[in-house]
Amino acid sequence: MNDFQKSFEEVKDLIKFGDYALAIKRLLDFTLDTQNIEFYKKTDQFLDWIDENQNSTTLPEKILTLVNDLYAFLSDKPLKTKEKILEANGLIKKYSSSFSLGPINLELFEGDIVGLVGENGNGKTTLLRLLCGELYNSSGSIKYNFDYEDHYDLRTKLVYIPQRTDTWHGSMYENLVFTAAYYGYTPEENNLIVNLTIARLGLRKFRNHKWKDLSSGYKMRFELARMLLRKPRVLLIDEPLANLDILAQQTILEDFKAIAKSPFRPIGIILSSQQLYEVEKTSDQVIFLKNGIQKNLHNTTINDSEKENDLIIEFDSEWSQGSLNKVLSQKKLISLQFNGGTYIATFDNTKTMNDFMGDIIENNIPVNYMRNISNSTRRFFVS
Amino acid sequence: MLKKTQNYLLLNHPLLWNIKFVPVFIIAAIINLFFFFGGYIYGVIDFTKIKDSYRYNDSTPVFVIFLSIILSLLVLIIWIVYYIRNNAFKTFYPKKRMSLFKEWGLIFILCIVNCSYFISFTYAYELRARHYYEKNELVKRLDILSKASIFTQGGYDRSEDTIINQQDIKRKNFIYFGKKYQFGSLLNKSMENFTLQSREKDSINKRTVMHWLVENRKDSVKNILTQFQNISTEHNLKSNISTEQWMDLVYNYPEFINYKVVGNDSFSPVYGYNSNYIYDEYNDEYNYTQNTIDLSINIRKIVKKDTIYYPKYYVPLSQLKSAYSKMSKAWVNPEANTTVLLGLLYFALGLSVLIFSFRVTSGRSWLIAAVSGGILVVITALISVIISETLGRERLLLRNEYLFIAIWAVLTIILLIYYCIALRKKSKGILGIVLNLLLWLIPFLLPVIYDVSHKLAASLNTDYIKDEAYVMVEHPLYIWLDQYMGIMFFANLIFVILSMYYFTISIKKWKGIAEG
Repeated sequence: MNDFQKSFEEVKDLIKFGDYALAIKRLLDFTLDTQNIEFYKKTDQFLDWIDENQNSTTLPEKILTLVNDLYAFLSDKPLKTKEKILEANGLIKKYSSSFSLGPINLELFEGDIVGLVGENGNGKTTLLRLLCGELYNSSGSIKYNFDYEDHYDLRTKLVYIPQRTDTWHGSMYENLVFTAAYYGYTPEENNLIVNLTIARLGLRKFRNHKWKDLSSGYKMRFELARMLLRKPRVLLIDEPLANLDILAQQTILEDFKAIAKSPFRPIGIILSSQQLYEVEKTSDQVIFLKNGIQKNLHNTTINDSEKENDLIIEFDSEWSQGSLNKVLSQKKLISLQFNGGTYIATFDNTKTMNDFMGDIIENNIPVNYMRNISNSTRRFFVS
Repeated sequence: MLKKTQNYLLLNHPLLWNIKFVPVFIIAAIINLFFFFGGYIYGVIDFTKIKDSYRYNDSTPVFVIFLSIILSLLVLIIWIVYYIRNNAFKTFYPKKRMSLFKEWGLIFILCIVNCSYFISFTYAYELRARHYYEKNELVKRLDILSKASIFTQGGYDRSEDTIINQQDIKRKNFIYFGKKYQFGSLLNKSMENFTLQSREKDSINKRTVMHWLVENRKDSVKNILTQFQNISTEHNLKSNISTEQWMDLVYNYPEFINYKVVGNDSFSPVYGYNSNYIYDEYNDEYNYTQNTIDLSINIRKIVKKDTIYYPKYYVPLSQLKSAYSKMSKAWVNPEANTTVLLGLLYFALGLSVLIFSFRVTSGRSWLIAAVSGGILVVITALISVIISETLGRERLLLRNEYLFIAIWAVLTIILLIYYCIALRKKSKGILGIVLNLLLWLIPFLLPVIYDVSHKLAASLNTDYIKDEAYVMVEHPLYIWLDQYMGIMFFANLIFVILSMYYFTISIKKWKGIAEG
């Protein structure tokens, strides 16, 4: 079963369990994957129908019919092989100040998401700006594996969304139609594709709104809608989760995942964030930056991999560091750090999370929160 | 309709939609049409009035200029507000090779249309004046007015005072075709001329009338006076004498000396001329004494205790002269002429370049360029003054303002070289500021080089003294440059358009360079 078939089965389950909103999102993804104006029209008409018949009992049936049609069409369409789209080797950016980023080595494949994490001022934005051509590298190289005429042309294909985006003037819808027109959508498909993209990002209600009337979450979504219309080869987003509530963060990360991993039109995404666990869940690779030095979550160096095998637990307890140390030192504890309100305990690699929980129960240690961060970049923050 | 058009443009021609070309062009065209019709209506000639001779600009009233500036500004501001809403270039949307050039071209067209309101007015005003008569018919009528003017109040061609061997000699008569005539004779009367008539035509007209007088061709004279009266009647202007009476008053063969003066209108006061007058700056009024007024041809009126004399017999030459001068000027020396058109094109060019440079670079680099440009102007002006004053006229070919513009020509070329080299750099650096300055300076490069060359060529001219006067011998280069000034300005427009083509391509390259 390939990725597309899995997605199709997933949609059927979504309909079965009544999660129509998500099912419609997948339906829209499939429609956009067809790149066929007839399907654009059908789905657009369906969206108009939903506007009028939101609580109709025939909704699941209609979704299923459309999805089946799309499945029949897309089954014959060859899947896109995911190729390496970007490669940076020994990338260094030196500033006149003491700060220097790199050397950075990274690879990005179509359909992959790379998360950049790290404290403020450690080079996340600098790396994104380097990759999108906004900054030049002091040494090293960046190779883009697609054709481009010149630097301007290259930068049209590397869409970078900064943390603070410019204000949009005029109606949101008109702005998106303008973008689509510039990116070669024909007049016949332009409005349809804009309608579908708006609906895909849950912006249908807001299409005629003004920029100033939108919350930061919706502003980010409009940026994403515009980004999708720009047919990017690489998408670089700086702190897309900032100012979003936890639910919105999860939704937008799910959207990124769906967009990046389209079986027919995969794109590579690099995003920076402070939301470690959310980013780790979505990303195929996470790069931790500290003082401009790179540490990868996966595929790390030998020294790092040794550490990776250790069990590292982050937990919160009322006990003092001394009391905890006294008990845990007899349970294969290597180190215990108190870090910003939580404890970070490192154990021998023979210990498991279950063993740790057993120790807590056995010694009646009060614990409010705990997380195994052995395979999280969180451990880099404390090392 | 406009919404539909804009929607069509948005889908098919996003650049045209973004520039708001169609609505702005339509609005500017409509305003131009209003000004055109206004000018055409205002251009109607009132044959009963004489024009104000002190008004330099006859066709475009001040309020029209004021209104056109206000409307131009208003349209410009509204246009810019909508235009800057979207910027595809700034956000790295795909652009074809010619796209930026097209964008500038469209801005240039809108600037021309939006800056030409008062020219539309002036053109229509003068068009109305030209529409009264075909050119040939107008010339025919002007000839009639000119010829008839000999038989109305006016000055004389030849002066009694003649300087021979540095001695002022008063002559009593002059000789024409072997016959002596007194200076006061009609044969010495000056003739009204109009610009549409060529200099040769003036002389022919004058000689024709003089020959009629010498040969006593009374019918020819009467015919001209009749035609004059017919023209007056056609324009509802009144004479208080018939053609026959006019003939009786002025036609006095063979000497043409004892004629009665016929006034040019009924309302212009008549002043006597005292031949024994001695200039007295303290008592000027006295010299315009009325004691030589001939009451047989003038009437006396007392207005607010002042005694004023008016012509007893008159024909409406003043009004006709005023009206026909307007028509003549509209043909020969219109105010909506090539120079004004050139001025408009250059103004629109400057404005379009300012808008375009703001659009493609950034507000920040545009502002820095404006400020640094201003500081450079002050510095270079000071340097040129200091050098001019220190080295003096003898040691410098170019001084003051010429030295100043020569420095700027050199600066422009240096900036251009820097720009071409810096385009290969990894970082934009100050290139955005340089680009702004270059875009603003390029339109002036050729005219400035021309001006400096013209000044240098002037130094090649030589002079010598002949009959206690300097005679200038102009160098062929100076003459050549002088001759091609107009062509140079038009050629420069083509040069600017071509250079903008180069710049628009290089700007895309510049935009692709990393910011830092």
